[in-house]
Amino acid sequence: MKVTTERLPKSLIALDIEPDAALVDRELARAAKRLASKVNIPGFRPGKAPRFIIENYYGKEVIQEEATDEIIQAAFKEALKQEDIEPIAQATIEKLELDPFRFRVLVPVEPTVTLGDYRAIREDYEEEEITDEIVQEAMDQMRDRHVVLQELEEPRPAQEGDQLEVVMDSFVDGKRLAELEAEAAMAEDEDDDEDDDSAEDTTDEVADSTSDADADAEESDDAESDDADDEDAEDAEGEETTLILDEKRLVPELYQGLLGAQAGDELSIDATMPEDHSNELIAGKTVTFKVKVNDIKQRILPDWDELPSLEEAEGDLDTLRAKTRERLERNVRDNARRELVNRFIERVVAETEYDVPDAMIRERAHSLLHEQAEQFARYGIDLDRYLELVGKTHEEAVDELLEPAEESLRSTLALRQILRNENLKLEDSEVDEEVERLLEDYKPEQRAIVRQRLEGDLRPTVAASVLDQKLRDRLVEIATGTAPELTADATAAATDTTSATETAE
Amino acid sequence: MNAHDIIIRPIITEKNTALMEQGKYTFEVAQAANKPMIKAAVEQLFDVTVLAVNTMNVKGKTKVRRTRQGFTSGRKRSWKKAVVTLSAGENIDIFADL
Repeated sequence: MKVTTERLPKSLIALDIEPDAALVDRELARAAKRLASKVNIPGFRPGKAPRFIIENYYGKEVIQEEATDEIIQAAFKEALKQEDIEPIAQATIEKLELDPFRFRVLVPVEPTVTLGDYRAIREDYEEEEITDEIVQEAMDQMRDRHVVLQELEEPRPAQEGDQLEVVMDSFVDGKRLAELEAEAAMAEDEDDDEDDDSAEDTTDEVADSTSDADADAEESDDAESDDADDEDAEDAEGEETTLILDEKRLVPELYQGLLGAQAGDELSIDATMPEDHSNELIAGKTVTFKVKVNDIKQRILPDWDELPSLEEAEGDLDTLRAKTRERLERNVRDNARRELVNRFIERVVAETEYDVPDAMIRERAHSLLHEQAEQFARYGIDLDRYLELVGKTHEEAVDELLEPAEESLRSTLALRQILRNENLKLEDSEVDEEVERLLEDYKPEQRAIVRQRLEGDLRPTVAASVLDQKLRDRLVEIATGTAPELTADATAAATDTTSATETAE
Repeated sequence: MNAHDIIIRPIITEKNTALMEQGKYTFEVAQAANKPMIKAAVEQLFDVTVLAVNTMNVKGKTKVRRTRQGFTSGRKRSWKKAVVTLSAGENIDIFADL
């Protein structure tokens, strides 16, 4: 077999393959046999017609066509072996000649990834300090979850900590906020159709916090903004919402104004919003809140020593506090590391030169689409149905994902290359440890079954995650300048680990 | 009678393609033709040497068909078959030359 290779840009190799005549002939004969059993030729039982009869009956081309796929498959496989090429995506046939049989295929191969000097990249490790206040806040939230609402036995003015059910409307410069927002949203829509997220971002948080009550307020806000236009601007009707009378959750003026209010009161409160409020429509402006208090409920928080969460801390408040702190610190550390690694990867990707074949990007886009489809499948929408809903063909949907696919490929490839350069290896014992660690999260009676899976079909996944963790640890070390020097030995061995890392992935 | 009128068509069937390997070719021939005529016709048409000619008359089968009026019976046409043996190494391209 004659094979000539030619290296093309974008990590493509062009193979000109001319398979041996013997191979072509063998495949042609087999194709004729296959055809013979399919077609009906008078004078012959099915499958019994010799090749030359079929050739005369249907023409040589039909047999060649039938045989082409097989010949290409066989010759291509042999050529890859002969030239020691490992394709990483679907190869494409560029040229095909039947007589003599010759074809040219473009094979995407493992792209060359030229990393920049990633070892010189430094990023600051920023970890937020966990103060006692933050711990206390978390503890308060924990307590807040077990709040009991109680109707007032006798009407009384609102006190600190009460929950108020109110109908509230807000005005800026004499105009209803809901209308302003609707206008802003429309202007936004006209500006940029794609960017409808930002319209939601600017949805107000009237009270200055992220409590659940506010979330409710936002929702009802959205629902009512449509008919707001028809109403009189001075109308006191707004949306129903609940406010918790708490200094930390409300802007000071609102807090002060509501303190001492009675059920049935109608109040008008002017409040100056902070300059850095997330809603730019009201940031730094004076907002007039028209509030009608419908009901006041007492919020009864459980005593600290009756907190249900204490159970997991053996009933000891200090232990719970320590555990909470530990949890917060772990979160902060994880976040800080994740962000550090993300920033690092971003810079690595920016400094890396790629030579990625289009077919590889396409394949990734394809798998991205199917990942998306899996998410929809949870809601009972399969891929075909989804495509129908968005009015796209499979091709178009893949096309649209090409860009994110390329991005994700870039970081994957860069990381894979780093993994090789750093010569990070995975010991079986490490995977075993991880399995044990994962098992701790399961109930004792489930462990046997879970263990079976973790040590069976899920083991590669576990191994991949351990390796990923190792890589991330190393990236943090590099970014903070504490990574061990690479030994020459390790760099030389880097090529050997290629296969190992690939199986892990 | 000229050669084309004697040799009507080659008979290509599973059995006859097997015979071709032995240098035996089968034709439908005019019923009036005899062996020497067939030999001469084949040699003239295909430019080969004929060693032997075996002939046989194939009787048309009677075919019975049911119609509204009852059964009607008919007969497929009868014809003459000739198996021509060529001298070793010679062959006929049955698809090209007729």
